[in-house]
Amino acid sequence: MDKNEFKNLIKDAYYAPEPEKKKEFISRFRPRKVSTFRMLLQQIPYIRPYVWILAAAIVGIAIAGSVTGGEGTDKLVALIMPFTAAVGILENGRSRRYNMSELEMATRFSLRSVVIARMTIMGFLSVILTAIVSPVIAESFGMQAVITAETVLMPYLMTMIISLHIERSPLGRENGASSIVAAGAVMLLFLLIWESESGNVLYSSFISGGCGVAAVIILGALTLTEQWLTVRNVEAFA
Amino acid sequence: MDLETIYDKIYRYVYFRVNDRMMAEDITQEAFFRYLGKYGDSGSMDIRYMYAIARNLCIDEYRRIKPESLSEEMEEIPGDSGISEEKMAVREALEKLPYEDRELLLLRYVNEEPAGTICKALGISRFALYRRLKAAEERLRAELEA
Repeated sequence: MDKNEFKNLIKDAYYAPEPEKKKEFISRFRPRKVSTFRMLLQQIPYIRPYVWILAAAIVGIAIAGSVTGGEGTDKLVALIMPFTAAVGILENGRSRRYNMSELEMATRFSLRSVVIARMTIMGFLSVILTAIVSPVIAESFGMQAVITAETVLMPYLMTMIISLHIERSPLGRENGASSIVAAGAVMLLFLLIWESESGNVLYSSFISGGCGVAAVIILGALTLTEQWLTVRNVEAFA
Repeated sequence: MDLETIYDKIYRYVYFRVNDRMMAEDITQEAFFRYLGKYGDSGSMDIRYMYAIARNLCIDEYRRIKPESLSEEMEEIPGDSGISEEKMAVREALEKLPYEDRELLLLRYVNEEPAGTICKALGISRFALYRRLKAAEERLRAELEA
C-alpha cells in the first residue's frame, strides 16, 4: 500500500455526518473588524444614565460655584468626586456580577474586554471632569490649577483603590453597594480633615509643598494596579 | 482559508472527539464566537487557535457528559452497507489505536493540517509530532497487516 493510498483510506475511515447548521451559521456569522475606539463607542450607551448625570452635576457645581464665587467649591467638587469613582466601580461590577447582561455583546467580545472598555470610559470621564473642573475653579478663585486638580483627584483615586480592592473580595462580590460605602467613608475623611483647623493647615502645607503631586502619582499607580488585578480576576468569558 | 473550510475542519475534529453531530455543531459554533471574543477579528482566522479552543471546549464537555466510544459511532454510519472490506478493515484498525494516535491521523491526513498547526493545536514540539505520527502510522499498518 503506497503512502497516498494509505492516506486516502484514513480519510475515508473518519466518518462525520454533514453538519446541518453550517450554511445558516456562516451566513449569519459575518466577522467585521471592530476597532478599539468603535468598541468603546459601542459600550457608552450601556453605561447607566446616573453616571452621566453625576458627571454633569459635578461640572455644573464647579461652573456655578465659580460664577457665584462660592467659597470652597473645589472642596465640594472633591467631596463629590468619590461618588463618580463609586458609580464607575458599580458599572464594572454590574458587567461582572450579572455576567454581562448585554448578551448581544457577549457573542462578539469577551467579558474581560467589556470590563476593560468600561473602565477606560470611566477613566476618560474622570480625566475629562478633572480637566474641566480644575482650571475653571482655579481661574475663578485664583488658585493653582495643579493644586485644584490634586484636591479633586485625591479623594477620587482613594475611592477607586478601596472600592476596587473591596470589589474583588467576597464581601464586594456579594454587595453591590460596597463602592458607595467606600465613597462615603472617603468623603467623610476629607470632610473631617478640611473641617478641623489643624487638619486643614496640615493638608494645605502638604499639598502646597509638592507632596500633592507625589501623592497623586502614587495613588494613580495604585489605582492602575488595582484595575489590573480586577481585570485579571475577571473570567475571559461570561 | 475561508470560513466554510475552517468550519468543516473544526466540526470534523470536534465530531471525532464528542461523537455527536448536534453537540459537535454547537461546540464548533461556540469555538468561532470564543475565537472572536479572544482574538478579535483581524480579517483572517488562525485555525491553530481554533483547534485549541475547540479542544478545550470538548474537554469541558467531557467533564459534563461521558462520551460514547468512537467504535459505537463507526458501527452506526448510515448507508455504509456497500463499504469495501478494505475501508472496513481500516476503521477497525483505527479503533484499536490509542486515542492520541487517531487524533494525530485525523489532523494530519483528514484535515490535512501542516505540522506547525498541529504542533500549536496540541501543544507539542515538531520533533514530538513527527515521532508520534510515524509511530501512529506504523501501529496502524501493523494493525492492518495483522
